[in-house]
Amino acid sequence: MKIGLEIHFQLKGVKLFCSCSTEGEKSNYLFKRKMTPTMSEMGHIDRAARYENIRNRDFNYYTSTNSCLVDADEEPPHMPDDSNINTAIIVSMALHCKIVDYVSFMRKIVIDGSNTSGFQRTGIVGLNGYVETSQGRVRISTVTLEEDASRKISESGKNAFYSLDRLGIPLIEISTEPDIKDENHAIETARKIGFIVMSTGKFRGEVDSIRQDVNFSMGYGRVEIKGVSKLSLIKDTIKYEIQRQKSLADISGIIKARGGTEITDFMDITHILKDTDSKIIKAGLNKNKKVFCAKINNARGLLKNGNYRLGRELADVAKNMGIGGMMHSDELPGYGLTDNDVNNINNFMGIENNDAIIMVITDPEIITAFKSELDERLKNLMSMNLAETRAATEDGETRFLRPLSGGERMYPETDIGLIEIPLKRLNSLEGLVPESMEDALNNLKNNYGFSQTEAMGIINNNLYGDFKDYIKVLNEPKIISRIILQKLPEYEKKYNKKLSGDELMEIFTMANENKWGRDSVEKALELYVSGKYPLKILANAEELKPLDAGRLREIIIELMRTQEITEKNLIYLLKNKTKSSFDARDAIKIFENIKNNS
Amino acid sequence: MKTGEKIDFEYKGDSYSGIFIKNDGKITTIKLSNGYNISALNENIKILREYENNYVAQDNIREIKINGKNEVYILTTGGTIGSSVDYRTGAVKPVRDISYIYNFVNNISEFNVKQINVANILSENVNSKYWIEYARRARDVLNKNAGVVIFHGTDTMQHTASALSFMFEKLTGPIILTGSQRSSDRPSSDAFINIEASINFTKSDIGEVGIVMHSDTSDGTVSFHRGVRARKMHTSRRDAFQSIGIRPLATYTDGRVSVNNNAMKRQDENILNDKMDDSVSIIYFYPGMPEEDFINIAANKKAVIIMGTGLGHVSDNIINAIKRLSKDTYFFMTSQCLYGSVNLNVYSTGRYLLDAGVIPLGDMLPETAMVKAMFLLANYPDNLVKLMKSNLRGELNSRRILEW
Ligand SMILES: [Zn+2]
Repeated sequence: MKIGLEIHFQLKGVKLFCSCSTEGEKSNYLFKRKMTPTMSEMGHIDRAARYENIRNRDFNYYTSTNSCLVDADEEPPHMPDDSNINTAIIVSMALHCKIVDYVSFMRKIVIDGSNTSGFQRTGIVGLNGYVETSQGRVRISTVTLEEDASRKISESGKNAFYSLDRLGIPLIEISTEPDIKDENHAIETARKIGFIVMSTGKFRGEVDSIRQDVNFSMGYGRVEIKGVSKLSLIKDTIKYEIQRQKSLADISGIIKARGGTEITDFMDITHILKDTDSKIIKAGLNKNKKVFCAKINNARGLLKNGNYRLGRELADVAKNMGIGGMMHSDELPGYGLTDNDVNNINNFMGIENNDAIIMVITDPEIITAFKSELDERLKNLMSMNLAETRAATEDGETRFLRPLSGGERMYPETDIGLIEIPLKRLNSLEGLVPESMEDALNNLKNNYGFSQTEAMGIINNNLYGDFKDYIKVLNEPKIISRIILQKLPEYEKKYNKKLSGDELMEIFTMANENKWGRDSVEKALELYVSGKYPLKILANAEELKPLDAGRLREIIIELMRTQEITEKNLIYLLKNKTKSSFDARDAIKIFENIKNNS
Repeated sequence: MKTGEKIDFEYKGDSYSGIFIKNDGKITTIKLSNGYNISALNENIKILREYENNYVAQDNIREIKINGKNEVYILTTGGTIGSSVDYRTGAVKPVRDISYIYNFVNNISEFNVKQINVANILSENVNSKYWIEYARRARDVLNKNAGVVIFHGTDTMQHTASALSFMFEKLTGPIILTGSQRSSDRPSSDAFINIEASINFTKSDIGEVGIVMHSDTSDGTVSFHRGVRARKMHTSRRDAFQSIGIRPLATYTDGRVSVNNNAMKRQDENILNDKMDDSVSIIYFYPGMPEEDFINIAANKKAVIIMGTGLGHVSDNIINAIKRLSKDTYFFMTSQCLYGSVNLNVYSTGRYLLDAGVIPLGDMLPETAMVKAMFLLANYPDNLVKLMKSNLRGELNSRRILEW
């Protein structure tokens, strides 16, 4: 088994090739485009690109508050901002990559409509690095800087709808060699790479800001699984893919033993079903569509039967071509078709023994193209040539997307010149290169006295960089970790307000100046988050004024009058009694003093 | 090493293989097997091995030549639409074979498309000699009873369209200029639909020179703009060309041409006056413009088109200069506003301009006026003023309506 990862991280700030912000919302202005496959650098029309065109689709784009003419493909790209290139350099260095002399942006043809231009701009920044893992080094092939695609909103028939808010957001793509041993190792590797990108402080950190593609092979060709949305799904996805390929090997064996298979031409069987009660067929006929049926010999019982899901593999082709609702014999009668309907179809098609059928309801003009794609796919599946691009689903499964696309679909982006990366620039960035996750863990444990669990808590919550900033102004690791891991999220939730890093920094600075203890820092934080005091006068808040010895003594005496006070419950009861802060050691001293004197 | 040759090389201590693209003396560019180009300083790269060149570029062009009944000649002259990207070097080169259009024109089976390579020139370098050449070629095609489409750079397409409009006194069919704002190597290029629309417009009954480009940013409708009223109004958008002050003469949507009533119809013969006089200039007035600058441009010209402010105004010192020169030079007034008509009767400045001998041109576009003067000076020098003020090809409107 060979596993490689391609992980994409969004950066925040400004889009890669224009001056729009990475943050914005969809607007209501809509425009429409077509995509026409064009020649690649080497003179071929890329196979994946041609596949998309058969679909002859209309792509509709909603503009957004963060889109402009560049995003609409109505203005040439601007030169990329230095900050984005620097982040890619820093990440490359942390992954021990060689940095290129010049970043040379390429156009990667993508005509599924997700890019208004019909290509994605991408350029290599780092080459040939590695990341250390518990199972040895995983080699990094490339670190590239590229533009994110549009966000798909919906799809219906020939129309796909996209929003431009995501288009052009800078992405750092990190590709590993297939050095990953298994699904757990994949997750560890992804974590370690992710830690580095997050440590730059430029990671966007929204819901969809990390996307990973998994390259997988178990001897039947390389499968590229696009868009695994969560780290935890990597495991399920790989398991699903192993299972799928194993069952395809079984199916292929059974069919070979039965004497092979092929699909006959599609026949128009609309007349047989003109009086059917099937709602799905009636709806199609009302839209002037026709019902087509083809025979697949020797495939009965393999289309949908336990682990055997050949039907689904073929239905993916239909779905990709905008043909909905493919039906096949392993699920018939069904879809409102009666035994009688099915018998009529079987008789008309001349079904015998192991013959299976598939049916689609569609416009007649697309049926020839559909048939030729279907033939190609069945041939590949039966010869166990499983190399292709697949899409990951939200529930850890995968489905066929398109044939693999080669390097053929790349050619130079002529609107942007080469971007030189002189040695001077590399030297100036060296100080910003983040530590590895291992080094960070050791730093937290050895220099700040955290346990493994506490240290992992800081790292997994992406707070290591913040911690290092805060510790500079307040040398109290435990106070800081309790605040950033527990108290701050708690107060933010309670008062429904988000604090910026700068605000927290000010409070920690104040804590240092006023020599606040843990309780006072947390109290100050709550007072500020709740909106009671602005930062300017927070330090002078009544609640933060320490009680002087006289007042503290009065309160303790009052407490002792009403209940049994011990050294153990004193502090707890005092805190309930007064909002003001006090020094616990002083309180105990005073208490003992009173007790001894009475 | 030759472009396209497979090589092994060392870069910063690591070995790779790839395809050699170019070496410009300082930087070597190599395409890696994953498709990316690497551009490396020559001192950082070491070629380890060169393989024999077995790469042959293949053009993926549909082999079928369709002999539809409508013959259309495409005259290629250069510009974005007539160029393609060399996918290896990124350099732009002229299209030598346009049969790629068979891949995307929907109803191509109705046509028989042929290409004549007339020029390969950036449109900013086009001048009156090219206009005359294009006009003669177009006439020859129309005389064969075939349709004619000219692929032209967009920057000066409006000038060429105006020149052809005036040179042809009669037309047996439309002469269509089309271009693109996005190069045709891009899947999103506007060229594909502009070409499809242009080819389909050749079947219409319009007898005018027109510019055919996107109506809006969407790939939906394409407009046929009257050549003498069209203007490039945006540097980069697909719908850069607009009909100024009138509606487009026709539109094309999804295989359907619809022509509005104002389009002039085909006539029974082609009459071409293929002469142009270059002794015309155009001067854009600005506040504080020195008299000497104005005189330097205007002197020794037979006619000058002024682009005045607002209703057609210039400063007093420029009026004085005009007074001095108007014995030998014709001065015509147009407006920088582009939309609307000049009127020299509203303000005193206007009346002084009339006294100085300036001839107002109504709502005629400045570039159209310049080309028109070049045409009239060469063909009707004795009637210059009268014809400049007359509407010959739809370039001058007496009515401007509020809405359409
Ligand atoms: Zn933008």
